[in-house]
Amino acid sequence: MSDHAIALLGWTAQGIESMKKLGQQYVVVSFPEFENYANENDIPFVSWDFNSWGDENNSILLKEKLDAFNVKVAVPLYEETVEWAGALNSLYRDDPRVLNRAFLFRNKAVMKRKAMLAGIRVGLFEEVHTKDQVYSFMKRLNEANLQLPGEEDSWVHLKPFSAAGTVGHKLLRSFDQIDEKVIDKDFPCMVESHLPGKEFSCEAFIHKGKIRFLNITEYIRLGYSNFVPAGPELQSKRQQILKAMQKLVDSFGIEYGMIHPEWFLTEDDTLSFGEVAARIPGGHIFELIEKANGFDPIQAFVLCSDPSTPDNVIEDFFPPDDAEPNIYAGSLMIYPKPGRITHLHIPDELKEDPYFEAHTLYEPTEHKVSDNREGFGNHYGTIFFKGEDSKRMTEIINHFENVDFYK
Amino acid sequence: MSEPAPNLVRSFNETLKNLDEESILMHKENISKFIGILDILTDSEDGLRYIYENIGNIVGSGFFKGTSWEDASLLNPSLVGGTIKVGGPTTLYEIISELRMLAIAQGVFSSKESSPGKAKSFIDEVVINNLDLFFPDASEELRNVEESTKKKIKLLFGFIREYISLGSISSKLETELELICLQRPIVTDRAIEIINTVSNQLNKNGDLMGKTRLHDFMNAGMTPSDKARELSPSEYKNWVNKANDDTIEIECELLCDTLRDTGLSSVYHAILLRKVRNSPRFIKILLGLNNTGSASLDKNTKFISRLIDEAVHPETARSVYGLALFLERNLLEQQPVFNTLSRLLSLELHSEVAESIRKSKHQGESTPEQHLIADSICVLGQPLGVGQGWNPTCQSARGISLWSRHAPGKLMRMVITAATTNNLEMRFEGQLLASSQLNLGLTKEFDYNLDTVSIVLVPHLDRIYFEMMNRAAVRGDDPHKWVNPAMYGHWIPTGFLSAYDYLTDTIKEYDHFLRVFYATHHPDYNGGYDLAYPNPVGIFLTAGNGKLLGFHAVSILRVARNKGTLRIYFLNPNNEGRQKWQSDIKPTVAGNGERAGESSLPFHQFVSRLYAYHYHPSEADGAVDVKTEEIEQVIEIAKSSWGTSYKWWMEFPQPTL
Repeated sequence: MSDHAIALLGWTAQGIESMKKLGQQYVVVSFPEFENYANENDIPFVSWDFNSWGDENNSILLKEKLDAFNVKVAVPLYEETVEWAGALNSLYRDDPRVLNRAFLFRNKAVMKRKAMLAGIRVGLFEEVHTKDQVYSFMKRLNEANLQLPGEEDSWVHLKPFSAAGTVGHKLLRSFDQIDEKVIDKDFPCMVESHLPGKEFSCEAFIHKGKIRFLNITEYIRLGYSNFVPAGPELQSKRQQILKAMQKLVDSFGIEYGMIHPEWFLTEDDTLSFGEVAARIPGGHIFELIEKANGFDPIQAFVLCSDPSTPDNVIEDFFPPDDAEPNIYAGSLMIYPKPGRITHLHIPDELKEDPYFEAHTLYEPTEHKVSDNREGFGNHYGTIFFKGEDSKRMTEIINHFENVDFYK
Repeated sequence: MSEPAPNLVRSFNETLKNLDEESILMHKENISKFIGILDILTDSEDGLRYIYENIGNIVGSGFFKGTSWEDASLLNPSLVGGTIKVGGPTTLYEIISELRMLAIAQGVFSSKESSPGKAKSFIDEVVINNLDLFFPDASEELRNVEESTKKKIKLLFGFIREYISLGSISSKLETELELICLQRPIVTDRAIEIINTVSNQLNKNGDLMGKTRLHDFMNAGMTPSDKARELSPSEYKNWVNKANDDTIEIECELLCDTLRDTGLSSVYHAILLRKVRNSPRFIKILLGLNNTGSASLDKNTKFISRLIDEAVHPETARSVYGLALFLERNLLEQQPVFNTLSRLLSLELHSEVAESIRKSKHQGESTPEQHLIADSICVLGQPLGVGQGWNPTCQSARGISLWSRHAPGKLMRMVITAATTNNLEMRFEGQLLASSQLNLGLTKEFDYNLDTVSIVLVPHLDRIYFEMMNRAAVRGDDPHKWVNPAMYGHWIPTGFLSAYDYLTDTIKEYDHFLRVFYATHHPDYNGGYDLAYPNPVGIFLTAGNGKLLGFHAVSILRVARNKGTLRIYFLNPNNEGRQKWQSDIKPTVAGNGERAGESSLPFHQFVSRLYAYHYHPSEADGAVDVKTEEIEQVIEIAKSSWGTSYKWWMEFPQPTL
């Protein structure tokens, strides 16, 4: 492994675990509240507030702190740390554009514009500052879609510029819903036309500007369920997707690290770009990649983020591109319906299903008390599945999505 | 026998491997997944066996780390029954913990924390405490337990049953019954339940040979005479109605033997007492009354007859024993008791109070009113038999016991008020507190397995106590200083000392605290006098390893020498007077001069748990004369047990006394 250290920006137990297993020197940069825990557990740690920026809190100062640990590469684990990693890496690599690229990842409108310039298909979008602008946007969409009186309005998605995944995402199906759902606090933000097609995500590990491993994650329901790798239908488009991905990488000028974009595939095989992030994806996707492919994606992320990692190390790390995983790993996140939960009920049909692997709906208990039942209500957990048939996987997850686990 | 499904076995092993290999950082996440797998495995016999066979790996993986189950040597078998019914991960931990103990007991797995002998003993205790689960066909339905949890519990006990037989625990059952009965509790349900279960099993399996003490208890609780064994209750009733005086007399003698021997009354006792209620001669024989009791009966023949007619029924059979002791206290001599009891005989209950009584375990044809009269007799007859059940209401139980001993008329007066108005009023520092206008007290879910007097009074006392505690909360000293006298009455001495300093959250002036206690309570220093009234004191309740569990209220009843050791005898309103407070501090309920219902400890051991007491300031002068060795001995025990949970201010200069 490299003789310098990696800065992990953001606290994740899994990340620390992965570095230990890799034998990679590391230091965790995170909020002060983790400091005690880190000290107690001998975890190299630099306390940092990612939310403030100024004379007392900037990347030069952070770099000085990290120099003590001989850090040469920064890896962003959470959305909020992406530009900090960009700033640090632009210093390490002496390339100011690395920082600009990081800003690209943090603004959904800018990244779309960039993709559009590269000739990648995106939906119609606009930056908006007021409710009136949202009305106008929907109105122009209706015109473009040649709406007749009585027909439905065109769907509009409203998204904050910089938030992870589906956070703050609002789907507006009509003018009325603009009134109902949009509040002043949402602005400024971005609105975009609804992209038809099947939504999926990619996780591409990039080293020296080349995609070294591409995973395609099939979404069953956005924000709830997905599985890895994608089923045969999406996999049959793998070459097309790989091409589009490399185009995205090239146009964005990404040299090192990992990106996690979302795409839409229509029936006529057109790919539309949704958005892209450069941190660990949600929905347990990394866990699923590990289960399906057998390598640790956080280690992959770190190795690819480091320009000094030798080519052969990268090549040996990933399975060959033509390797076909014979197992699908899926996850379903369970949200209890609020306000009416007394206890958790795991139905036998789940326990007996051969695709069922594990669930985390139970919190580990620390106290021997008899009145802690309400405690189950606040949290949700995940059910993990594993099996050989992607169709069956989809059926099972769709089925259990409608099961009420909390009664 | 087969293995669990392959995907489960695979997940089990993968998750266990992660738990084992990954560091503490991932513990929570890994545990969460592992619990999910255990949840499924505990749903089948194969799964349980699989866990049992892999228990060494589970324990080795750190599964119990950071939980209450971590150290097997600290577990308490009497808590298992309550914990296992909670559901969710708590139930799972408890089940795995039992499988660990079973594996240790069977020599399948070895642990530093327990030996096969100790583990076997633990499992025996778990079984004895949960006979209803152990013999599922004999069990009353598990109330309030979720279906899937019930299934797991039944499977676990079925699994244990493969290793434990009734014969192998019979001597422990005997001891258990003996110790329960020696304490003469009012609520004897637990003893009766054990007796019923064992007796049913014996009828079926007959794996208990010879005549044992267990048979004595079974006779007392179920079939106290040959006729009772022969006849059903209704046949017995016909038989006594036709029997001549000689036969009745013999029957009274037989039933008296078991009654006085065990403190248990059976349905047959109730039937016989009803039959002889107009004959003082037979009542005396049946109840085995001493001179005082006989005299009390003779003076109040008509009243007692009416009392029996109203109160004593097969469902309220325990009042037979209660009545015997009630008469022996000669309480009817006290006009307030006579008057209030008379009033109780024609009382109309508030509908909600009647409903509460119905909700309690009592069933049968007796009315809530009759239950209340019957248990009033018991509470008056057995002041030390009052218990708090599973409710956190030690203060209330302590109060009822104290009033029964020293203010029975006041107690009955409170019962009447609460029973008819569903309200209770008390004064606190000049202000009136009415329970019906107060918020909930300490109890959120009331355990109804109590005597009827407690069912009527405790909800009100609990609220009033809680309100008083709130009002006295921020005064820089233990609120009990003000609350105890207001709550319990003028018996409480005016001096009060607490070892715990509320302002600094420390143990302060402990030396002085101990010296004053010795000076006022130790016969070597106070001139050899014993207490006049019980002293409601606060103790640090500690687990078997001496670690602090919390605060608890008990009453010191008397101080006396037994077999050369000076002991403090006290009432522990906790369900059970036998507990282990530290490896060598074990309150006893028998064998050291305890009267029925008393617990006791050597003087210095009890003092080492004390944190607050009342005393008469005029008697505290001798504090300086208390031998330093005595004080130091207590300080050492205190500091090494609950004292580790606190900061100490011992370096402060000695206060001038």
